[in-house]
Amino acid sequence: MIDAVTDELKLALKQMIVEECDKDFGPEFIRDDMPLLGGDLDLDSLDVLQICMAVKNQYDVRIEGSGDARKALKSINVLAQTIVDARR
Amino acid sequence: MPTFIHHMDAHCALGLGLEASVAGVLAAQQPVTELAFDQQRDPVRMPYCVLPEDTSGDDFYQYLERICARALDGLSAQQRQRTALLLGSSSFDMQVAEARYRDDLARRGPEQAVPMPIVGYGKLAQHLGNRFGLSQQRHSYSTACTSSANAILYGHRLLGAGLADYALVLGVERFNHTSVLGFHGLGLISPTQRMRPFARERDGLLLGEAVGTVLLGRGTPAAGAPRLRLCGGAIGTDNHSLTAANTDGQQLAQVIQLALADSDLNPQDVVGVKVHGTASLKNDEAEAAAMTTAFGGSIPPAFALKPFVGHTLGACGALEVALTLGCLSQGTLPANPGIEPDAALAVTLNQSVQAARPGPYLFNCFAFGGNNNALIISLEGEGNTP
Amino acid sequence: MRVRAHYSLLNEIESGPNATLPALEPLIARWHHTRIRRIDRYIQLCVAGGLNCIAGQPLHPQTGVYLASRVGAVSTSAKTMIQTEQKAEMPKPLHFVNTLGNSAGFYLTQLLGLTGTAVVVSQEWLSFESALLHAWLDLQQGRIDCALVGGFDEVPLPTSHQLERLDQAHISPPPTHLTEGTHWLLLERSTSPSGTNLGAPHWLADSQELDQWLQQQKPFACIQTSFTPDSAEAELLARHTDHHQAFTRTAALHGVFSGAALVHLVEQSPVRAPIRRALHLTRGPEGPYCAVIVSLEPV
Repeated sequence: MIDAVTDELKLALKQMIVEECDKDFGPEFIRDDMPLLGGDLDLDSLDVLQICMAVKNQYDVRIEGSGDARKALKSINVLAQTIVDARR
Repeated sequence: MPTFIHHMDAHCALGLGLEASVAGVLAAQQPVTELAFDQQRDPVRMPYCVLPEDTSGDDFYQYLERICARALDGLSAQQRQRTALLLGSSSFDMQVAEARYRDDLARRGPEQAVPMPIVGYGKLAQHLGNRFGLSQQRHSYSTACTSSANAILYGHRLLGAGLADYALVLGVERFNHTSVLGFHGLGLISPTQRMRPFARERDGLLLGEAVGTVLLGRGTPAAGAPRLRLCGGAIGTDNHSLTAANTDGQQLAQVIQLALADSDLNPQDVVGVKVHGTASLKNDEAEAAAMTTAFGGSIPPAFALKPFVGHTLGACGALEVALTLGCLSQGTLPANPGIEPDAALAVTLNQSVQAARPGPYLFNCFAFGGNNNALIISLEGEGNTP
Repeated sequence: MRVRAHYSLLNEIESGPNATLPALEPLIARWHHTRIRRIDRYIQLCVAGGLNCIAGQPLHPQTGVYLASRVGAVSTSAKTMIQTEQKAEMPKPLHFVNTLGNSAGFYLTQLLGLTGTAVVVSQEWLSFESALLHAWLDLQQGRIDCALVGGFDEVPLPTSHQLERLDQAHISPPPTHLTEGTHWLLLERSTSPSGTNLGAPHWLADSQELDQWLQQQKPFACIQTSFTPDSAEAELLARHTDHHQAFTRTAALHGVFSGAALVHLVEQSPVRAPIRRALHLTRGPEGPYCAVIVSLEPV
């Protein structure tokens, strides 16, 4: 049951990003408030699509269109909140 | 000896055959079908340009045989032995492979069933070459959306080297889940179910299935047929990004310039452009920038064919050449009425069907993974009807 | 066409439920120090082969890239098909783009900084020779100065599935091994009579055509086949050369195995004075033949 932003959820999202984007760093590299796009993570549009599809498959939350994706992928905090809000 | 186009054929959403398909282009038909993927865990609906129902009961392989038989009709057994076969596709017989895997899943279950059961990009060409007694020059091209455009270019080069007298080029794309759901997953399908290349409100592409056929020959075709000469072409690579062209259009401009040089032509000689025009935000921006670079301020009359037949992926090179030449042979230049240009892009598509000028036409064809192709085909003399 | 560099990697994979694939990353790391993410084994085979053939030498900007594969990105295509047909889910975007024929060439040309001609061609068991012909067409016309020709085919796991795909599962006994590999030639236009040169690949429909063609050729010090000749073929070859040898494996072969044979012949260069030519001969299970002359003089 996901009804609140927890450390567990945030860790799961970080692990998901590392795996879906085939990144060399571990989940601990991603800070909760770090910008996911345009920052040190170096994610491109294909990574964004991978993450959005994984979010849909794992959390049944749809993030569609590049505008929504950009908003949701501001940071791990925002992504977690987006998922929690959508599932309420 | 120059390369001429001796025969062309088009099977696409507009019709099964060149005549019906060309009539559809000139009438600006947009036959879009909404497909429902209800078997998906998360059912989706998607617009698609479906081939009209084939009532012959032929399977995919027999269907291709029938198309080849038509194209080779005028050639003797000896001429066929000197006919190369070049087939371009992004999915080959994926449709058959998926169906076989579904049967296998039902029969043996997920542990035993073999996914992707049919392998060998060259199988189709091998089969058709054997069936029609063609030359051993049987090459298959797998460069995504430029596959059959590259096949046309190397058909021309094979003829130029004297390795064949004729080259039968097939662009083949049949509906399959991998391609269609794959494109959906990339978010490239137009939500409004319309393709508007170079328009401000462009919002993506429609996919379609098709077989486009072009028969190239050394020397001129029989008297009375329109004289369509394949002047040259080029391939270039833009490895800026795997999924989108560099919006500066410099690599695309270079492939156009190389195609012109290969054809001994200057930009101002070109009388018309068949654009690639996928109606995606960035790719149209890149193509427009490339045209501006290649042609300066005076871009020749340009038209797009994907709004009528969808993006037929690996088939689009051969299909769009065949459709264009079908229109030019009737003396008409296709148009895209009602597509309002994006002022930021400097490309305005031809708004009404008009008389086709004789002279060289440019065919743009660009693909995922940065493989780009440009071909130049000239309508020589008067555009007389066969 | 003069051979400027060559490289071949031929792996024999033991079939069975515990089959393992040798890592390709170390081969790539020799020439490119940061790990390339999101590439599957098919793309790794391309990149590993291409980089090791070039081996860090500067490339002429007018270098065309001619890639060959018989079966393409099978393991990723299979993953995608499991996703859409078995699980009824959307294919992952990354998997889908990696199923497209261009993707391997994208990574390689990006690493090498090449922006010219690039194609991916296929012709069943003569796919490598098809790529070689495309390179020859462009080299002899002066469209390019240099051609990088590479053929690669993977062994997707499980091997039992791949043996079914290759129609080898029902052979008794089934093959104990499968080969995979990546085979490369860097070619340039021959300008002086030095080095190892290749002729244009020549297709021959059947043994009669082969016989006639061999009669018209100057003698070969060696004819190397990438298949085990049957008795009629062995007799035919013996009529045309004192020495013929087979470069084969008892495993289920990958689609561009003949590329391994050709690179082997180029490496061995089994020519002896006064005969300075050898012949690479290949065929698929049902023909046709394809012949490539390997010579210490311009062909």
